[in-house]
Amino acid sequence: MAMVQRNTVSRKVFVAINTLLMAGIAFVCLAPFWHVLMASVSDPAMVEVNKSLILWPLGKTSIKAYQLVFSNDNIFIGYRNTLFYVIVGTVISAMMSSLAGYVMSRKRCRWRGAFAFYITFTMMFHAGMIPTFIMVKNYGLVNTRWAVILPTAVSVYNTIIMRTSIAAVPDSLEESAHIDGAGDWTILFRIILPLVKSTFAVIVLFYAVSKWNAWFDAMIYLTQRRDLYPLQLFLREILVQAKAASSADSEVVLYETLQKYATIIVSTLPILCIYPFVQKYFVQGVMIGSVKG
Amino acid sequence: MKAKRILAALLAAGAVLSMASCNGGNGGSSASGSTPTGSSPASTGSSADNGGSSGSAEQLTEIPLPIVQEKTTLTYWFPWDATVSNVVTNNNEVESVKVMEELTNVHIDYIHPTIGQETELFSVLLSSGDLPDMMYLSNGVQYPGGIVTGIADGMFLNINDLVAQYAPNFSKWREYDEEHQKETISDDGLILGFPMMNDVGEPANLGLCIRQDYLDQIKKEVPSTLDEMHDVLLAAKDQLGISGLLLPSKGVFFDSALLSAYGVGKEWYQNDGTVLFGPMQEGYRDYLVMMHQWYDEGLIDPNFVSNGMNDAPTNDLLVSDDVLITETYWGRVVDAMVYNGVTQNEDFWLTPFAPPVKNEGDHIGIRMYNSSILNQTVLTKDCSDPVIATMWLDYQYTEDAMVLNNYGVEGETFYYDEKGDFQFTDLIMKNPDGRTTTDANRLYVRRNGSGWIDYKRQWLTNPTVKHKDEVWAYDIWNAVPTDWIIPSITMTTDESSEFQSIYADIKTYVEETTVGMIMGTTPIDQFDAFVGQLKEMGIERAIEIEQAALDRYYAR
Amino acid sequence: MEKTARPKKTFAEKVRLEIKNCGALYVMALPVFLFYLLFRYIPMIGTVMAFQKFNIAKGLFGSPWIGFNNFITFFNSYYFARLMRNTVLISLADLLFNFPAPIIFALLLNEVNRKWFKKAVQTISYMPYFVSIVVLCGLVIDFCEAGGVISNIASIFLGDQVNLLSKPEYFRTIFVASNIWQGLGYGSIVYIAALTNVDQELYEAAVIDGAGRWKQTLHVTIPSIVPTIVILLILRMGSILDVGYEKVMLLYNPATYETADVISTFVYRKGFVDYDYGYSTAVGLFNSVINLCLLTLTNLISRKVGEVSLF
Repeated sequence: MAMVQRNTVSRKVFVAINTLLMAGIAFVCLAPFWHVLMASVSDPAMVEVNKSLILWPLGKTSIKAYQLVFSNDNIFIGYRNTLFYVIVGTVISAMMSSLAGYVMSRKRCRWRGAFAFYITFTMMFHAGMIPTFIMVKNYGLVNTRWAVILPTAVSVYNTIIMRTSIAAVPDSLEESAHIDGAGDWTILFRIILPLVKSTFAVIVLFYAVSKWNAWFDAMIYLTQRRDLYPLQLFLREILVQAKAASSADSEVVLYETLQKYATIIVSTLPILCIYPFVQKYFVQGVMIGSVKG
Repeated sequence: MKAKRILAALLAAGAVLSMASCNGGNGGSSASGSTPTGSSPASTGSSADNGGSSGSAEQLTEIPLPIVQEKTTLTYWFPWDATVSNVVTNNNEVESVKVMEELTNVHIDYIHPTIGQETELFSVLLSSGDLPDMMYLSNGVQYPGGIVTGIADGMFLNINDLVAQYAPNFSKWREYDEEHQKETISDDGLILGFPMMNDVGEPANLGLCIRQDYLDQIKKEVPSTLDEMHDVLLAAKDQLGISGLLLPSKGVFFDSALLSAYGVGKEWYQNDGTVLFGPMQEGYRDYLVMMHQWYDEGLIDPNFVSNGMNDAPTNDLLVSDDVLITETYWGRVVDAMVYNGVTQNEDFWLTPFAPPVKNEGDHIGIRMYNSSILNQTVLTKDCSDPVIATMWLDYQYTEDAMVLNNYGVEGETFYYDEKGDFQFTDLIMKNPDGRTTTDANRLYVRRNGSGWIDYKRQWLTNPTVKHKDEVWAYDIWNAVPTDWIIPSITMTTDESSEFQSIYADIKTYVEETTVGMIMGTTPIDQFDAFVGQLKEMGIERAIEIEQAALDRYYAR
Repeated sequence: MEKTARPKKTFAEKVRLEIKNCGALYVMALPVFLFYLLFRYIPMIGTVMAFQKFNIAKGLFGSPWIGFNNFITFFNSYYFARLMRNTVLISLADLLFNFPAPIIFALLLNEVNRKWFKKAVQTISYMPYFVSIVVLCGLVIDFCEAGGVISNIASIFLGDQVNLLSKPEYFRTIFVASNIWQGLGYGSIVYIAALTNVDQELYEAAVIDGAGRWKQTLHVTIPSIVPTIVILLILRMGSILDVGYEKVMLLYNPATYETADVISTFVYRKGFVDYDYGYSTAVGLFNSVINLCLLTLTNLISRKVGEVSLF
């Protein structure tokens, strides 16, 4: 983003205020996550009775909560499954969105507007849990891994983002490639995608995150295959069940709340680590001009 | 061409959908009895009429062990507590369940939806058309319209004949008293299922509590009338500076405490068989007037409306320094707060007390009430062997099964002490593998489920801590009479949908107005307009429906 | 390919021409087409539930037909007007504040020179998105109750310590603010990526014309990301009536039903006891129709005004 700038006074003031603002936003955004992290290593009794924001660990610090979380074999099964769903799912989804985005951006396609309407319509009209379940069952996907990957394979939002980005690539590039004898597939993969790396990185990130967080489809489709459960579903079971059953239960597990917090950290830390890797694609824009034929 | 392809796909899909969705189609709308394929006589098919006519086979007087010669497998949908999954992930891993299998020679394939998300799974299961043999409807999972509708829809079996022939123990317990007789059947005499039951329901485990250490500080006694309570709260405000009454977010206590002093229940209650709706009564107005006054005086917690409390507060609220009086579950207090050391305050103690009256000697007829009949196991239309299932389920009501399911194996997990009472052995109490008593309990002994349940068991693993002049909450709360309480009535499908469409709006309106009048944002003098509005919303029709259902209940 | 000078083409001929032109492209689009057909359009047959008294045992083809009764029940609800009003107002407030916020954040972040600081702020900014909604709302409640941080600050202006969550007039503000808190960072990612795609040459040309940083932003940066903004705005209009029940449910209470009770929470409460799928499908259908109208309208306006459109 190389804009040229001059160092005037007003510029300096602006930079100072902006920096302060950014720091403030960072602080406010860090707070909830920090709260959860600090709580997860605090003394469970003190966390149980604490109400407000926790800035440093309360009482005796220990990682017992994490030990409890990892002593549950389900966590490892969940991690393994989630990795599969995220990797395979993201590859499939990113490819689908790129293909559709490319097709919809080609001006010579008369029906591209209709196609865009075709997919956007589904954003607003939902069939509902039961009809979708019945169809997935009829397709024979229930209790298989594919029930988790396929029904949510394509996101309209991400596809449209790809389309917008691909459409911004100058036509001259496609024309010159055509002249050189390249077909659509070659154009898409060899020329277009490298030019929209940052947007592609965005949809890869969005897909990966949404698949990492997904649990609902797994819950209703994998009724007899707990061994295929993603991590988030195991996490949710603990969170949800604790809320539902604890009212009248006279047996309170001391580490219940702490385990909840530890599970949140364990399940979000990995996905947070992806971002720095994706970030490097948000670098200086490609010198499109210099590629002009 | 594309259009034609789409059309063909749609038609195909339509055909497929219709085949998949016609679950009840096979049996029509009558209760279908699936012919058992097991080693049982063929005359046990259930009829669509009321049970009562005994089949041509002999009636059993007791369940033989083993139940079948060749090992039979039954599938059982059973909501599962996920917090124990670090110890057991399937009921079949529990020791007492294994012993049960050996004794009966029946293997149960458990399907465990997690508690907390079982309602969506239940719907999806029903719509898939393939049901397991048995289903345990617990924790609020309800077939839309009730089990009776389920039987009418052909999803569940009519088990009257089966019970008459093959369930001697269950049948015997059904005769125990009026509650057992009426709560196990529908208005038309259809037996609902095999419940989790005992002779008397668990005693009231929710009720009012007051901070004993604060009481000591302000030198007051536990209140028994509303005026005394007011007094105590004022003293706490003056001397301790706290707004001590912690109300649930809807403004009325779960068991109608305080409101009951004015002779009124918080929602639906009865007076000698006449159904009444609490918010319409004069007593409700009086309650609101009093609460509003207390709110203005600063005696009620100012954040009560957003604390998310329905029946009991969360732990942090319970031990908060700002609370003098609230309602909670006794187990939480003793076991969580003190036994597990959640509170750091050594003087912390809550004393339970009965709901206060207006004038001494007044009668209060409502409290927390646990029925002796809870949760039903139903046999579904796809039950592969209803006779074996009935016999297996019936066995759970025997004395031996009760001991096995609740306490385990004598000598191993429990023993009889000098008084003849049950006590857990060291295997549970001081587990050699280092497990907590809770975990050990869950590994060796089956938790809840259809059959005979002994709620006293939970007190063994969480011994109450002796504290000063300890008062046993259950005795205090349980002493309150229950004549205002409406039993579990059922509505017909039509009544039910009519009731639902009226009641949703009414419930919202009542909640809003109650909280508004307590906090003062809605003036109390609008109470008459409030009642008028309720009538316009159709409350009287709703009352009629409830009344009809109640009348039918007593006629069972 | 040039069109021949024949006056009319038959539909079959048009189709043949299209396939000749773009056949390979349609093959590329086939997987996506099939996906939507199989997993979205075919199940839409289930929408017919909206017109039935749906019974799960009888299924779609056995449940009794009741026409528009479900809709009428919904429209006749005592609270219908209020629910619509609350849903629309909350959604508009969210549109007004939560939509531009990530854009402005992306632009401001763009102005940061120190790379490490920029990266750090960026990464931290999207953390709230991952913290469970229950935890986040728990913090909001704690801050806004009497005695909480925000309530204390507010008492400077209001004079009294008040439970902000018990006041209907503040609900919308608190709700939208918590949305911004949670979604600012994550939502800005698209715009940050778009900003990196701005053509370098345009900047150089602007500098030659004597433009300072501010003018560059105004005349180069912003116009370059306008297509992205407009498209995302149109998409956003397609979810105007979709105020999700989960977060509202965590933050509202009977004292704020007046402004906080939205369509989704009301339907959730109603459906909680009686699983009336027909009714909830009907309400969902009603929502969808309105969303579709708004989206189409916005798309039309955008096409007329700026030539950027979704379809």
